[in-house]
Amino acid sequence: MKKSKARRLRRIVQFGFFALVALIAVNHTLVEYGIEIPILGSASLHALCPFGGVVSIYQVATGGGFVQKIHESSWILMWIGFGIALFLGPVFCGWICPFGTFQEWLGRIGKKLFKKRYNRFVPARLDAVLRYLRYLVLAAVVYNTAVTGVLMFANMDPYFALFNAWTGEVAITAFVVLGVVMLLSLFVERPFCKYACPYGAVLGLFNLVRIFPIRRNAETCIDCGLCDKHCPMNINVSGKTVIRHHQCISCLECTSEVACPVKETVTVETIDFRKLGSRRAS
Amino acid sequence: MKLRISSRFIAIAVPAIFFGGIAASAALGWWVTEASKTPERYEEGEFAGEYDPADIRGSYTFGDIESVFGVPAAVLAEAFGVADDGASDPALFAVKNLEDIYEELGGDLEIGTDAVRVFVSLWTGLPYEPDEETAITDAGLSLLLEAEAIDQTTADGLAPFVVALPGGTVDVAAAVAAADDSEDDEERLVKGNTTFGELKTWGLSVEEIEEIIGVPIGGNGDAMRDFFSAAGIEFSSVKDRLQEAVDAAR
Repeated sequence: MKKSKARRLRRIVQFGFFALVALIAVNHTLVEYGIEIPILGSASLHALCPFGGVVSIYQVATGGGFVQKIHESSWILMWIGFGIALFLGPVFCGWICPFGTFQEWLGRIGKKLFKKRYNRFVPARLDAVLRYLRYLVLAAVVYNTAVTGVLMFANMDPYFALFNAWTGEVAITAFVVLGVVMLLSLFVERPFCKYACPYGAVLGLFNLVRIFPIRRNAETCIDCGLCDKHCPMNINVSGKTVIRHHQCISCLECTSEVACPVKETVTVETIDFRKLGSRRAS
Repeated sequence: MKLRISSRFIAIAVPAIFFGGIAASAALGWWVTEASKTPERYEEGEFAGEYDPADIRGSYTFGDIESVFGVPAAVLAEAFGVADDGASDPALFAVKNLEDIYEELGGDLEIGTDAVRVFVSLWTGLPYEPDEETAITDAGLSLLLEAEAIDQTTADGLAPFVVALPGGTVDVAAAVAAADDSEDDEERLVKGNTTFGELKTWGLSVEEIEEIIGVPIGGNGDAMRDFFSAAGIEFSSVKDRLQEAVDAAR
């Protein structure tokens, strides 16, 4: 497949999910006026967010049902997301999440403005520390939701603010976070995903165990560094043979299908079962 | 031997798994995207098995109430001054919007979710013990008399709770658009869907809550109305004291 075609495929899927979520959000409002876009249904965004399932885990486990505004749909989406992540890592982040897509779109403006400096503003040491911030956000959100039984994150959620801006349901704090993320997206690729997304933090852990990790073939690699340059999450792909970085979003931008100029050098694949078998036999 | 995944595979498989998963769960009846609009039923007494108006929640629409209690949405719309202008369907009007619309009306009396419970109770003859400050609209009282749901003696007894609606009616679409249904995050109102967890975050201790309600509190995620309904306690009997404690704790 041509490199441009592989990249376009991801963008088509991203646009499709962004448009779908936007239409569902609009439809949720229209239904209150007696108008409904056919087929879409009138679910709220809370009902369609897999992270709602994650914050409900404690309450479900202790027999209290779901957190307010969260329903079975979020629970199902959470398990689908986990199932896919077990095989492919956080594909949800790289291919589906409309807020990740939104940040990427803003990032294109940043790339035009800052060229090669884009996504290289944050000093590496500071960046390395900040990358763990999203686990603190995750812990705070899960703890507070478990204590109160209320969807606490909605008041800070820029994704909810983006798709509900017109409804009057969005807290001012969420608008502030959205504004900050939009501004930062002009300098840093996917700033919310890197530093604050609690759902990305959960899915990121699957990178450590995913069955199909990204692999770099050191024998054919020409050390051009294009994989590193194209990684939106600034992961050092060229320095590893298996990428199990907790921030990989499985966008495949680094692979031989997109950035890597050498065929079959950076790929998404399992371990070599034959080698594994012979190693075990010996 | 290695198994390799391509962009094309992900572009096809991932959306297919998501939508397939949703379709499969919907087929199994697991795909639920909104709260159940079925109220609790009376557990004992003459009306055992009938739906209890006490469990009407703010998220219910007039249409939901019509389908469960048989009170026509058009009647509810007229009783609560919500216009049926043909452009917007009163069946879609959510009960919770009344509190915002009539916030300044009626002095000490309130037109809100509890007023709808009272009206439904009177229309259907199902028993319900309202809050002391709950109002009945003048239009609603007239409709109850016209439909012979209540007699004149009952109407006379309700007189102290009757509030005259302002001239004209409220436009459904405008009211729905204007009403803020953000769960009163800043107002800290104790309502049926308020959880014990929220009471704690609003500054009440477990001891304070238990002193007011007289029984051990429920889980953090338990909503007031569900908890009290299960415990056989009338929510309205403790609601004001909880609200006072919340206000005092601010």
